[in-house]
Amino acid sequence: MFAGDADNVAWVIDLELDGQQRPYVVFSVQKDGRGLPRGQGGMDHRFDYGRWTARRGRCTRSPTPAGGCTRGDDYTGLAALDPKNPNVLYISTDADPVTGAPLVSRADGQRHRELYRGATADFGTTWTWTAITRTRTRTTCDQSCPSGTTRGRRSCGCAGHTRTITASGRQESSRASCHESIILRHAASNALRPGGRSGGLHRSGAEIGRATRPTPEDDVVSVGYGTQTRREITGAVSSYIPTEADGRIARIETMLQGIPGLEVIRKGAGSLCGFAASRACASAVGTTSRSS
Amino acid sequence: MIDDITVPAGSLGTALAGIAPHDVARIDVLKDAGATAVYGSRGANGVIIITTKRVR
Repeated sequence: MFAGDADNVAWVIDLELDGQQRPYVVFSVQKDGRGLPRGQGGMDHRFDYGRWTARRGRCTRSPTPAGGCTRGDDYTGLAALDPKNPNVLYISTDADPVTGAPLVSRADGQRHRELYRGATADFGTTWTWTAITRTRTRTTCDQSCPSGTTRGRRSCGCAGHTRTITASGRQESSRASCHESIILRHAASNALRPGGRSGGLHRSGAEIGRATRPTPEDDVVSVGYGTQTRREITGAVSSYIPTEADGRIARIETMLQGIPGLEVIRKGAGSLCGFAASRACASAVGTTSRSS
Repeated sequence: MIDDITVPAGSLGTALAGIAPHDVARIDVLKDAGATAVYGSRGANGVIIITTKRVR
């Protein structure tokens, strides 16, 4: 559907199916590469949107300028489709998606990537863009990620700083993730509502955060371009804060059994007991012949 | 580690038995070398840190 050549090198970013199981896709196109060495070409990147429509029986395409990428060639920035609404698209770009003008943050006067929400009413032929962020001060690469397939949430990331921004406005650093990502947790509206002149993500995110209020074990963790629920991840550090109900259990070993990545093996008194790596071994009473 | 005190080898079971579950405020499990580096070779296999409510 996309006629690529040396000056139009495409790369799929996100692909979803609409309610009729028809695909829609956002992909990047590197312009003016022509096989030139790094730094000498291919600095012009665009976001394109393709959508299968029964009416046309083919994909429509709507180029959206991402502008010259200041972070070097071969990097466009990333984008994310709304899996629940094929008319909505989120992009991370350092160029105005309408004019192509560089985005210079008022916070530090430097060019940074900002997040935009795009909406279309004509199957991607034209887009209306709304800024989600305007005063970023980080120069790391980042991307926008709307909701997802796992209970309305998904995260994704790209190489960058270890930082995660949740839709509730919190900035978290994650030792388990090597990605900067943005997790947008959708409320009933199924859309991130852009805010005002600055901090829009925070304000709209706060609304979304209150609406969803996920439990810690339902949090999603960035794992490259995919996602896993936190309960399935065994990171370097696991913490467990007992609840009031936990206080009524008989043994601490029972608490330990609930910690991800830790396996408790009960053995009789006097038997070998200890823990190594992800295995904990606790004797009912007694002796430990090997312990850290 | 229980309240920042290392549990000697051989007395883990006894130490755990001496703590009432309702006194436990937090349990942290450090599993990789980076997280356990501060504990030296004794933490090579990982560290379980139990913090009781008494030390708050």
